[in-house]
Amino acid sequence: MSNSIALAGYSFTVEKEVEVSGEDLGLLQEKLLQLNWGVQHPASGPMRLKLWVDGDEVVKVDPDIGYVLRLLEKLVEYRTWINAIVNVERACFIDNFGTMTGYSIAAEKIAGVEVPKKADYVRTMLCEAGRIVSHLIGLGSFIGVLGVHTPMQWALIAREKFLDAFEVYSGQRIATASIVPGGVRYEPTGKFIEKMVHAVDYLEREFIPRYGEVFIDNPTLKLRTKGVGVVSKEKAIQLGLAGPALRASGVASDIRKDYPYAAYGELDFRVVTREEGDAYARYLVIWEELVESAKIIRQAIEGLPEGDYRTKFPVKVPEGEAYVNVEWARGCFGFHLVSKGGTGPYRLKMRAPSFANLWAMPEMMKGVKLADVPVIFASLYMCHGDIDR
Amino acid sequence: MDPKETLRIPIEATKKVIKVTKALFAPKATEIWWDREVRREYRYRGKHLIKAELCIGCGLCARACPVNCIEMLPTGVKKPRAVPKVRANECIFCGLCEDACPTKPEKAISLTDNYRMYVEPGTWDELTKYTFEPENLEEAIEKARKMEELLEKKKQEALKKKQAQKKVEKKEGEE
Repeated sequence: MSNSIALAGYSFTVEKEVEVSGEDLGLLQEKLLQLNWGVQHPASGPMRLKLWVDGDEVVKVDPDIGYVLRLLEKLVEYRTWINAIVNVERACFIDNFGTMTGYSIAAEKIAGVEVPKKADYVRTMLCEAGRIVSHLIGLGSFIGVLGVHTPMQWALIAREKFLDAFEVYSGQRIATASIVPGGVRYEPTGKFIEKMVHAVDYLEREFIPRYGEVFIDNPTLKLRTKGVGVVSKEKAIQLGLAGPALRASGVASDIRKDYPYAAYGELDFRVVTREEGDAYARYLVIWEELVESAKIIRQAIEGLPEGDYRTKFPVKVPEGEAYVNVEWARGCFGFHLVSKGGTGPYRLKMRAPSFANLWAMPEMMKGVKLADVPVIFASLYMCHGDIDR
Repeated sequence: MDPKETLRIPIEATKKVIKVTKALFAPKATEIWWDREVRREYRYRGKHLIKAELCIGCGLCARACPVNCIEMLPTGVKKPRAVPKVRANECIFCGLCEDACPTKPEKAISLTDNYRMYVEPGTWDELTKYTFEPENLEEAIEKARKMEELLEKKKQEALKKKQAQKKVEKKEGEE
């Protein structure tokens, strides 16, 4: 016998042979193996994917979420109109300005408050800076999933400059709590503008050329990501993809362009789209949006008007409801806010883009190789705080 | 026996003792971080500064707090009926209490750039006891009390004057 166990001195005797049939074995009968991809996987974050694999091929995917559920929607009901922002911004800490802007616009719609123009411009500036920060982490972690950790460090260096600007503006680097119903909380000082220009300069002059030279037209990266997780235009709409993942399939959907809010209607920018619809295209969409966002920040700084930055927001808001969409870093973020005439929101429903992308993923992962699972997962550019809320 | 062999153990032991004593008296490799200046920005949101003299006791900061970590301590005097006390363990340093404070031009409750906040030992009991309390509260209360007493005296004087005037008027009327 060439069996190593037999060589070690063990022997087996068959006592009883049983034929298993019917539903007893379930998926095992079809020689399927269930893998738990996640909770402890470096790419997954606080989330588990139950994968059924047939050899090397993925047959079925079942995401298991809820590890970072914080009941943000419920918590908002216990807050006043102003201080609900601290719960809203914690949907995802990376780009917190987008969510705060959406909530504030919804509250202002119900209350009938008009925001000064300066606040609109500051909001735009902060939202775009938040988008850049988020995209930088997205780029870094996408390649990090493939096993290269240098780009993440480069991206974090560029991100640090923006965090410095946020700190000058609001006093905190991540949980800034700086956009409230009725405007923005702080006056944009000269030092803040200076820091922001410095950060954008660093991004455009140092980060983009250097990163683009190494990690964009990279043959290894292309081999690994081209043709992986392809979604056609029709399929993307049918699955309900959002954000960069949708734009990578050739759908030019961008709330900033379609339904302009804040100061986006007055600024000139381009909606980045790609036709391929694979993981590499999604990566490139995020990459090109960096440049566009930097352009928007420069325009907003140039066009920053004089005047007030905050108006008074009433303590009690009349009855009504509003639905507001904002283009968040990861896609279209919807806020359904209901007021019953109290001092705080009656109900807030948040429609999260990452959640939509997550439930489109099982369909995309059918029939791919197991090694491609992290690539598709990372290319969809999801945030766990946003999935669970 | 070889003399080198016999001396080997004591020599090594003395070497080690010398090493340890040297390390004991050597300058420390680590530094206590709060002795050095750390870069802080103009709007840094750190430890609270509550000024009892400025506080009017409206309680707007407690209402504005998203985590309900501000408690209004009753003072026993009329003018600031209560002053805020911040439970530092629960505070998220959002600064919304500072925004809500209506005193002008200086805010009664404000976030300073003081980041030195530590509790020893860091047990739950110790953490829950850690609070930011108003500065010189007793002085402010005494001041307020004196002011109240003064006001009351003035009031009573005014009342007496009025009564005296009335008496005079009555007498004039009778005459």
